[in-house]
Amino acid sequence: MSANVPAQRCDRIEPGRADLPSVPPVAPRPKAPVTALTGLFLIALLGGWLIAAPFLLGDQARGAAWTAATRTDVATGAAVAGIAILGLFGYLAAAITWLARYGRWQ
Amino acid sequence: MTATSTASNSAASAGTGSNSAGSTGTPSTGTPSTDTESTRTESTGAAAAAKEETAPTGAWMAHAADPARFAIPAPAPVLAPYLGLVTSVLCALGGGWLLLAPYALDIRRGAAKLPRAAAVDLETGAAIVAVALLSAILFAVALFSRLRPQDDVTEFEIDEQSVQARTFEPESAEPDVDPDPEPEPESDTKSTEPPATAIPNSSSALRDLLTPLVAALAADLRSQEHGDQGRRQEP
Repeated sequence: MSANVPAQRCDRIEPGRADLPSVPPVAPRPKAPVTALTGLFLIALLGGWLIAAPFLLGDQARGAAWTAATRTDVATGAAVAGIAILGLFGYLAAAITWLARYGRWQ
Repeated sequence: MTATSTASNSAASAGTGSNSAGSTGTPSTGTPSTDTESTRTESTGAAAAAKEETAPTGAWMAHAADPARFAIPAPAPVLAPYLGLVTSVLCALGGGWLLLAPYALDIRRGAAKLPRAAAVDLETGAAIVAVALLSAILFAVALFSRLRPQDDVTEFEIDEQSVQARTFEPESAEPDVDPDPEPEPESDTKSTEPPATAIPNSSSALRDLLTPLVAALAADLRSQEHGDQGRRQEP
């Protein structure tokens, strides 16, 4: 069994990995695209407006069946607003994840 | 503070290294007594050189003194602008559908004047398309600027001292156990290599990191070769 153990081949004792000073990864924080994020927020507001427009403008009679225009407006507005809000939250989550991993909080 | 503590650790490990030099320098199986004596005398003759070898190398000391210079850059955050880009494109598609919907669904129904619901659809759709395209362009610009390699990284700037330490570090790492050192191609190639200019890029930093490892490997192989030659000459 002892023959399988390799003998020390070098007298040199290098400092161990634990002796090296720990260096956090350098992370230059880039600027956030604030204008683009504002645009996404605007799109979410436009989606909300699209949902509410048929009822606010009186195109959809109260209690009556929804017209094709109302259905289109509500469906498309909900989709656009949902996608924009999801994009904003996704951006926020990705940015927070990156900051938690590489950012400098102190 | 970190440099002094690591220096003391290396000094402590230096003593153990000199002790282990005599014990582990001989092969463990089937070694005659004359062989062990010769290796002992050889190790005691090279005690001073071994003490110098156990000291940390210049590159390691430079690393310990200024660790921020050897820091590895973190990857740029590209997921966030990518999500924003995808979202903006999807919203632009939704706005395009709003522009087409009054005609596709025939909301007009043959009327001479466009109904207000259709006008609202067209106006809101145009606004959504415009804002979404603008956001998509801005997200794309942010994404490409983060994907572009940064040439002006200041962490990899190398001054003249570090270049000198890197150039002379392999010679200091080589053990001088043999009094008549053989000419070796590795040291020649490293010595003939011109001192690198201070180019602040990642390749020089990678070379800084790999040079101590290569030097330690070369010293290890050389000492092993010397041990094999001494074993052959002994009988």
